[in-house]
Amino acid sequence: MNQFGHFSLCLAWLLAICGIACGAIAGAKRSRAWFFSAIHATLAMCAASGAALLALGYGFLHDDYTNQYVWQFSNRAMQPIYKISAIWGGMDGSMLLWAFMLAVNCALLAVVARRSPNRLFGWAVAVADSAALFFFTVLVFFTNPFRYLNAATVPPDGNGLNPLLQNPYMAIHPPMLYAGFTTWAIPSAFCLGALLAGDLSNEWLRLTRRWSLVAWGFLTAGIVLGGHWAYVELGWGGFWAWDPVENASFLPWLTGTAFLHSVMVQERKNMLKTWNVWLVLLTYGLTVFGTFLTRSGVVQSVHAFASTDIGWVFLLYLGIFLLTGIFLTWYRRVELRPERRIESFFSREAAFLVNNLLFLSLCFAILWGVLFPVLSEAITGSKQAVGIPYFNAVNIPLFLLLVLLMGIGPLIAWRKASWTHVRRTFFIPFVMALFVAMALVWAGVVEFYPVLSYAICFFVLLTILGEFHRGVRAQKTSADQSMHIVRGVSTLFRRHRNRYGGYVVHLGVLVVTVSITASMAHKAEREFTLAPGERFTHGRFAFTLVSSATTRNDNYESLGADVRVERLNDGGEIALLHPELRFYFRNQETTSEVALRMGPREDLYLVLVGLSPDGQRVGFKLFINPLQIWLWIGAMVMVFGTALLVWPRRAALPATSRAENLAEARS
Amino acid sequence: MIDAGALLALLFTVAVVWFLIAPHLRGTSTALLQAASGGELSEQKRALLQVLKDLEHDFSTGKLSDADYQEMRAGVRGELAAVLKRLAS
Repeated sequence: MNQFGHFSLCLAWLLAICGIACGAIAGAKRSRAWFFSAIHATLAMCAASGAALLALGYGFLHDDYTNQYVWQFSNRAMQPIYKISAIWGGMDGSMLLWAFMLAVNCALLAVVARRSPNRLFGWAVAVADSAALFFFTVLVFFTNPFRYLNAATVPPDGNGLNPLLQNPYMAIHPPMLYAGFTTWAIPSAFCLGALLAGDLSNEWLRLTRRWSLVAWGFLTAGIVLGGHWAYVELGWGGFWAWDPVENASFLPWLTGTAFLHSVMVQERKNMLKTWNVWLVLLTYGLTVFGTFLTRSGVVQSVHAFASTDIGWVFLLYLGIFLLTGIFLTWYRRVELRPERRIESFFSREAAFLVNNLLFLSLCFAILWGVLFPVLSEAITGSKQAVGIPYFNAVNIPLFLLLVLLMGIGPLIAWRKASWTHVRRTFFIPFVMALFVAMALVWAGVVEFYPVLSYAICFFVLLTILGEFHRGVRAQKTSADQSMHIVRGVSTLFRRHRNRYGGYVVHLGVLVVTVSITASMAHKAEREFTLAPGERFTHGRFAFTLVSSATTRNDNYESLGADVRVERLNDGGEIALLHPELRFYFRNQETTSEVALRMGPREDLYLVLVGLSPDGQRVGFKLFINPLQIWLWIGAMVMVFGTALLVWPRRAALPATSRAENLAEARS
Repeated sequence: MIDAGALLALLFTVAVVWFLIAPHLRGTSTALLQAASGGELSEQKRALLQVLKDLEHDFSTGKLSDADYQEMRAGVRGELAAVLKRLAS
């Protein structure tokens, strides 16, 4: 299987080269035959990379310790699901998964291209295959996952996977994140393809729309799942610590979100052409940069599970990619000139531009924080890191401004907004938000940012609801006066799915913002020890230690405790929590298994710290995280909104509306 | 004696090479790619119709002044007419 896997990888590498060459010839000579050869090469590349992944998976499931990578990241005691997730537990396998997902995206592009053979697609396939070629080059020459173990005899058992990675979220979080990262390669391929083909109409933007949204949806889901993994696995009571690897996944999300907004300006007003080119190139570049950060060992991180010395290969590729982008943008500078300029600062296009600047400011601030230790070491010789206070101080105001803009930008007119419209749209939400702020202060919430955040979220919520109200009213005016509100909303989604799907995503962002604000501002943290039968009270809850015991299996030894949680007012039992402290034999590592009781008001998050020196008392750390569950729900709303935007439409418009529209166009 | 794995790899490689050169063996090997295909134009038409709908919605919800609406609509209709003309030809 090792030989078959390695052969498949080499074949995929060769096919990527064929795909690039055929696609480029097709683009340059407008040859259909070369175009279809590029398509075939890309499909075969995907099949070959899939075969390589299957070969590695087979090795893990059959405990094939002749393979060095399998021996390093698996053992016989691991459950099958973790043997599969161990494929991406280290550098070599995660690169293979990455390359496979990229190849799948290239193949999907090839399938779409097959239906519409044109020059732009030819170049796009060539560029997408060049991204795949880079990852196959890394796999074939630097991180081959099919190396034989250098030992005289095959060991009876493997090293085992890092215990922190033996979590169900690790089975889904990396593939989701990689799906997001690799899907961003396709919009960037279309962009470079359009630059190479010299076709800088809005066609490439229209073609990339669905890819960009899917990439964004996957990236959002991947980031949130990573946050959830950190929340339930790392045992520090939080979900986001501005860790370099977390930030690395967040950077392309920021530029990608900016791109999704600014394309609307180009589609409507033919402005920001160069800006959009650079946003999409930057987004893909940042996904590669994120991989460099994760894999190179340049920055210290709790998530950096796969550190190697091949960072320079990533930097070289990134340099070539960006230089190509710079050259092509310069070469096509005439075609990229905007057809119009922003006429008024008070217009939707200006609001989108400010939105973009804020996203890029956030991106720069986070990038600066991530690279600060590296830069400080290069300049002063000593490594200095910036911590959570820096990230919070810089990012919270920028993020709140963005949320505020989310309630303003989509609601004002293109070109120039009138004061009358602005007053009519925003006056009531503004006054109501002011009341909410005053009510919060009166209720004892006196910190500046939480009050501001809740007030802004309320303001934006009202503006979005107002938008739905005006939309339904407009439907009633133009169609049926007695239209029921549910039918009105459904008609809105049917006719203007892009716009109202976007509002659903914005509602999700609001829920996430409220949850983050609450969990940051009102979080409670306590440490205590209990003997069996003893009780600890905090807020509305009482915690009683029922029992504690040590258990053992082939993989680990565990100290666990049963803690009964009751309501203080009526003594009713809420939950029986079972936190554990595990010691994994093979890895010689101790991990904490958090006991979590999620609720709509707050999460009870209990961590077992250890036994007292006399062994009679059990130590605990308790976190009470208000509104935490709403973070995950809000993220699901965001992904649902994205799915609404991506969902295929019916091929044809209704006959009447089509006839009306065509007549209108011809008139 | 030939190794079975090597034989399989050889067969696989031959199949892939045939798959790659197949488009050149067909009668259409000298055909040229279009700047944009019919399918693309239909998609472009659909997108422009959607933009028209959105403009109308913006106007009916009071976000666009009459002058801006007329101007933007005329621009989109011009693009749509060009696409329809290309589709018809």
